[in-house]
Amino acid sequence: MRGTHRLPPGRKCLRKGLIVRKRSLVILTSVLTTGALTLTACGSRDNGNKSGGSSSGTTLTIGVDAPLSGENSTTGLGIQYGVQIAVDDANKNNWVPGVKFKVKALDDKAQPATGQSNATALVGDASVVGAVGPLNSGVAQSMQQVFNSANMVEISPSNTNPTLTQGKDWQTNKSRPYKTYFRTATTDALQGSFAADYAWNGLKKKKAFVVDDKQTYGAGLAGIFNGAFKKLGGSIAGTDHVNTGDTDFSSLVTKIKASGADMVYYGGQYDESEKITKQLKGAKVNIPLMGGDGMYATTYIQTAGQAAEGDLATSVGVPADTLPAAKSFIATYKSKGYKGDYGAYGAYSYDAATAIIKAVKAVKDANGGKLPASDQLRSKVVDAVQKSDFDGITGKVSFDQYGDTQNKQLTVYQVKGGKWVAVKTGTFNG
Amino acid sequence: MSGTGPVEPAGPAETGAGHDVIGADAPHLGDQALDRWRALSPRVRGATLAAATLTTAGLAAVLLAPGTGPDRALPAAAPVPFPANVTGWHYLGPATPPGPRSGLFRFAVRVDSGPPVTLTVVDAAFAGLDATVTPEPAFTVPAGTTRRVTVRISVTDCSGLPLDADLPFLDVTLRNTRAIQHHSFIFDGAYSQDLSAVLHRACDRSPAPLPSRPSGSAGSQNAD
Amino acid sequence: MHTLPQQLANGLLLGSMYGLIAIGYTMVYGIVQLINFAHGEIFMTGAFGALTVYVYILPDGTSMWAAVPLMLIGGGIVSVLVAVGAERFAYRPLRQAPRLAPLITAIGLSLTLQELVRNFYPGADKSRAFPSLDATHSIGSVDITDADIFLVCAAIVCMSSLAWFVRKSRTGRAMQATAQDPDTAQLMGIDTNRIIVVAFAIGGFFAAVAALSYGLKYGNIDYRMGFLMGLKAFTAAVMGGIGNIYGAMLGGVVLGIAETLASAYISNIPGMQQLGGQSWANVWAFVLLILVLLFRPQGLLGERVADRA
Repeated sequence: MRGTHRLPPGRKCLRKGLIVRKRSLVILTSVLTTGALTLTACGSRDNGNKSGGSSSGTTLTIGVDAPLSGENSTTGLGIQYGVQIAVDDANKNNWVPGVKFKVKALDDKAQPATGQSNATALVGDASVVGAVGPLNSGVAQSMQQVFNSANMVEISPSNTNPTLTQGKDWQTNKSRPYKTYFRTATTDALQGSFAADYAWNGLKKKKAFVVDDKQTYGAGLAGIFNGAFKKLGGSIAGTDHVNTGDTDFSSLVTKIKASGADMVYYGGQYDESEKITKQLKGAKVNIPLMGGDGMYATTYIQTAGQAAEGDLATSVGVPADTLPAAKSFIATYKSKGYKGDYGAYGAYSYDAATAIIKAVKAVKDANGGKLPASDQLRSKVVDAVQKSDFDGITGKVSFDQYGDTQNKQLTVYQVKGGKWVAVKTGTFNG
Repeated sequence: MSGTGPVEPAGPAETGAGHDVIGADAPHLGDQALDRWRALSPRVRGATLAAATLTTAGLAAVLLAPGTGPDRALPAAAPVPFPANVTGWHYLGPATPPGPRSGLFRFAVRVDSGPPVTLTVVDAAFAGLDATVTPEPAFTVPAGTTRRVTVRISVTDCSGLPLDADLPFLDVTLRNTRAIQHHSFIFDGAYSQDLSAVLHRACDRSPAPLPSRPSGSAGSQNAD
Repeated sequence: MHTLPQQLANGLLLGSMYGLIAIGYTMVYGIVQLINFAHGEIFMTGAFGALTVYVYILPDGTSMWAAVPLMLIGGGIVSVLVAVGAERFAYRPLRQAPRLAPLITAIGLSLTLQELVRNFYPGADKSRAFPSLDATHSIGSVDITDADIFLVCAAIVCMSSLAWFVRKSRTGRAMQATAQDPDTAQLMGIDTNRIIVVAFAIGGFFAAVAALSYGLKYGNIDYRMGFLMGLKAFTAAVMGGIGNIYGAMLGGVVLGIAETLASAYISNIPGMQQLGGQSWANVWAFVLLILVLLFRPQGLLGERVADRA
């Protein structure tokens, strides 16, 4: 809704007599629109609903929630099709005899409110047994409660904010807020420190300018980097925050230039960082921009072009190329011509969906080969996912007492010759 | 690109046939395969796809079925894993006696599957620290076994050394028949405390004057 | 404060872009008292028109000296066609309808245009690379790129031609007359429909100029680019006094500079760290708008009703 406009009462009068009233109308309109528009910030887009008709036998649905259009959609589509391939494999290989799976993908447009209503829709669909998603940590916050009330499992392949599994006081007193929430990605507590280590030891950078997008994910990651970089002995040349959707960063670029920073760290998604790096290099500030998994996407390089060269991103997991089991996944993804980018989370989405499918099998086997009634099925699947322990295409899939993955691997990528190239990998051993 | 630091060099002279160096050629493999794939006739493609599907299915059945033994049982079908994806390090505790400027740390190194992995500890996170495995610098761990090793970390230069890093790590070169990888193993909790203690002991009473290292937030204007 | 000249330049450049788009809002409002909320999307289609010329029509390796004028023509044609088409098919049938009707139509049109571009322009659902002119020149302590020079020159040329056109040309004077009193103007033999079309066309062309500058400056465009730029330009038009063409340009420049300076310096004021920085730039821009409207409800140049066009 773009604003309101009131019908003037005396429209029949001569226009001149209305000048004053029109003015107040303009004022009213402008104040209302600016207010309303800044809040809504986005037009409406359709959602990629993929629900289909039911087929013979039992068909269970695996819900997907991710941004499938607009901002972040490159990585969001990677999640959708990662799940799709897992479900196709499960059906083709009859992983759960007598049960077929299908995917119901909803578009959250990277907005928490949309994510919440998608979660409600998935919970309301009796055939949905579990959900994979969302992409954004901020969206996850609004969805966790909905899934928890319905006792339905939710596995995110990409959320990295520590509070989602370890509670608000994760630094001092970890406690799990929702027992139905799991993730196959590791947390920013590791990612931010890993990035700071590489900036300090690998790149030998001393002064970082830290920018974030104020979102749950971006601000959290930037804060962790900031703290870790200072602890290593680096200094912070300055900090700033941007809005998602901003396009002009000239003022920020001038500030970075004047600060004398030798690198920029950005907590947020590729949509903004690709523009920042372009404007930064355009202003002859030739320092690398480093970010997290949110900007590890091919779109970043396509949009920023030459300006992206030398920029860095950490991402959760190891490069898909080094996972032999993921080879057929990548081949399938490419041969089906799926849109989006599987690089960052595709394989993790595949494993998240596989964890749900295997949990269904475990529940069915434990129940004497029959599926329990749908309300019991969901809560039993949650318990079965908690006990997951199998070799997925990303490595071992199992969850700790907070719902975090036990497979805590990280990679630093750098843009070289127009491609993301892995320059350092690491494993966390708690 | 200027302003970008050096990237770690690829492995030493052993980089020969049969080894991939991570990142060196991996991105191209997929593309070439894809091009070749596109060049095939639809019939061949269909057949290959079917064969690949069957193989995947078989593989999935073997890998995913509970209770199946390690994948050595099917050496032809099981892909050879990259060493970093099968190797785990766990910190056991400090060893005595520590030297004045060094400490000994005990670790358990486990390799889950695949061919034996040869490990060399290269670095201990920060410039100014040296790390070596005692008594032998390189050691090999076969699949399915755990080996205990002791790492000596000595302080060579206190200047610019962060004494209280949260997540200190060990840089290790891993080698098996699949690839050579440089990989970091990151630890928290006990290891970071024990390492801190060694660093404090070495640097706090170091006769060399400590440079005025920015401690914590000095000189920063951060708002987070 | 050694960055002040650079920040002023940043603000002036951003403001010129706002001003060029604001002309479209202000001219249409001045003549038909309609706030054309689809104008941001007219700006966006102009950018895609220019990109089409560059990517699909010009051979690879065309010099930018030749490409930029052709892209301007391509973008201009698309924007003008969309603007005139919107007037002819969306707004003219509603000319006598209650005021709310064209406003809602404008909103619908804006969403329609966004969705059309997103769904039917190849690759438009995410940022598309646009040829950028990023060779940098230093003037004193200020660095500006070729795209910035293009933007400033284009803004000056466009504004002075528009001023001349409105004051001196026959059509321009007919526009002033229509703005003052459309009914009387029609009685005096002025084809007001034609004048309205001309107003939409000029607004559309200026939006295309701004769109080309946007692409050349930032190096990428997407289907959502018109939303925020349109909103800011509308703010600029209101701030300058809607209906006044000089006000639109002045409002744009004031808004651009205010935003940039707020983003650059407010966080340096003691106690204001939390209220500064890039993310608060929009807030300060709208605070300024509210202040202007409180003390000068007619906008900065709003009293010069005779110059409305």
